[in-house]
Amino acid sequence: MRAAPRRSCRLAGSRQFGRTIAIGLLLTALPLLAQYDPALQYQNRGDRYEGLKPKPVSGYDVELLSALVDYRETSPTWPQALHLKFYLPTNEPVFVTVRQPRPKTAHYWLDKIVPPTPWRVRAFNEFSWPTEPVLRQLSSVTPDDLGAVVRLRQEDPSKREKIAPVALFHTRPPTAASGYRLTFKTNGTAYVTGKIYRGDQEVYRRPQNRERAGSPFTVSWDAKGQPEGEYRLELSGYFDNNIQLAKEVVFHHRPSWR
Amino acid sequence: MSATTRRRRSRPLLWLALPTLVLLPLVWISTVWHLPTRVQLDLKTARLAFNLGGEKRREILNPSVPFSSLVIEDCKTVELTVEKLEVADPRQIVPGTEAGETLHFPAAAWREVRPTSPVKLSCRDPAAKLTLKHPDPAAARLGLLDRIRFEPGSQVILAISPGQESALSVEIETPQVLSLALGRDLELVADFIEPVGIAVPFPGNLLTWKARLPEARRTLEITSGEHGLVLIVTPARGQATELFRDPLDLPVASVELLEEDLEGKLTSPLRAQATLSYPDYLGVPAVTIEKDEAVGLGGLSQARLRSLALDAEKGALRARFDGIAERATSRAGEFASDHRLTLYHAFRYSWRWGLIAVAAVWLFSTTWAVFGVWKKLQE
Repeated sequence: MRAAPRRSCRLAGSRQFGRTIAIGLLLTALPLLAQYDPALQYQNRGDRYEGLKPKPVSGYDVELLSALVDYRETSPTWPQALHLKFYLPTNEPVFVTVRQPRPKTAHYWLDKIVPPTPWRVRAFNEFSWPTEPVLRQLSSVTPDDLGAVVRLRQEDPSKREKIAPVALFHTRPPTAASGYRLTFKTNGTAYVTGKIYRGDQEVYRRPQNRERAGSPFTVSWDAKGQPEGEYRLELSGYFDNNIQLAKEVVFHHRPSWR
Repeated sequence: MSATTRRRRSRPLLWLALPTLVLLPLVWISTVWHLPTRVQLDLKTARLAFNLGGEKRREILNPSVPFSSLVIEDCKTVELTVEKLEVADPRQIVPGTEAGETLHFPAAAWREVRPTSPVKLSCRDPAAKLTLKHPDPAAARLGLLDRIRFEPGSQVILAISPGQESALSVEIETPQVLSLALGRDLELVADFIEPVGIAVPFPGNLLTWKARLPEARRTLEITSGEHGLVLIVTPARGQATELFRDPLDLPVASVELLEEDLEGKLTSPLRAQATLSYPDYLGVPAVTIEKDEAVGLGGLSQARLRSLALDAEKGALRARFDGIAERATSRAGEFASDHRLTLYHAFRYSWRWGLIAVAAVWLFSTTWAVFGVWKKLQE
């Protein structure tokens, strides 16, 4: 009867020791990250994980970095709080990530959001977080530098992803989704064409372009006049070494955000 | 036998064992007591991030690097003077279908537009990106980069952008105004770039422009944002080795050699085995670090990046680093190795410390002997 608690205590102790060692190693190995205040580093902040992470370089062949509703509120300084809003069309697990699509060095990352109430289906959902703990301390990051992805069904990126376009704002949310901006990067130099379909009908095409490895590129679609429903963005092309490139992002377009 | 006699008899044994009892732990401690160590690291890496040290602005690239193509991110404005300006209808693009085949536009796709003087391009949009290339894909060279100076304390990230022709991505934190020297013909791929005061006949955020530059003014001026900019430089064909200054000898305050995969796991950017050697202790064998091991150097002083070169074949940066490190580790999976030298190494491989150790032993033994003689004389 006594053994179990003692073992769990020991396990917890060893886990804590392991975590301390891991953090120590991380800080040892990351002098550029370690130069920031430890309070700014990526950590649990109650209802979210937020902070600075080392810059990711490698990854999947094509990665979706951000999927935003085309809506910008200009602000020369950081507001008190940032808000995100998205429409959840079906009952599926939601995974939110806010990040810098083009990080300079150590980069901002927010994920593992715990909403105050469960996300609501067929409704708009919002989440707010204060900028004081991290964002306002980062002199080289501006509100325009942030992107966000709301992945549905699965947390990790994959060839075919289902997402909910998200609006980032600080004062007033958009009243309509008049367009979308989806930002990607490839991990090798590639020739990429982007097309958006509603069913089998092509509604938008971004002409082929040569995209350099690691350099983000944005597909911007003006959705004015398009009916509500499911749309599919297809990226196709090939890498410099002739390997084919394919990526599909499915999202629900809801014109009115009132 | 009285207790005092027993104590007197056992005392010589105690004195005999005492040096061993003292020296043995000291020897053991010397093998685990790591010292800040001067290390030299020779490596081939896909990414190198560092903070510039010293007090002067420094240059990393050669004063005029010839390039065949250049991607500019985070610019504020771009200006150039042109005598002829054309823009291609994006709907008429002839896409490539396989590697080696480049996308192009038929002659009918090009429409001449009236240029402003100078032509001013605004990069206000956060997604703005400008690519400069030669209209003739077979051309080896498009132009020359300007001198790029880096502020002390600023961060620099050099990364290899893989592809058929390796390119170097340079992330610069120091704001810049750069003037590029170009040839007569130029193609610009403008992604979310807005030409100021020019009526663009085609819709879309991604447009390809062709410009003919006047002989008297074949330059292009880039003003970066206040937080610097990102340049992806493809060196002119056959001139990749002329990218970095030689000798470089760049003071650095910190250096980072890590990548992270999408799962958040830290990985090594090394592209070949690296060698860590000890210039102050030539007798200590160099350590080989496998390419999948993560290397960390911290608490640096007197640190310099001695040389940098682009290895276009391997798609890697060849770097030599030299400095005193308070932390020098490598990590293979969960296992970390400390590569700093210990007190033991200092005594064994340094003639100076060896001499000090011999002198200390001599001093100890003679003092001991003198003490013994003095004690006998007292009796």
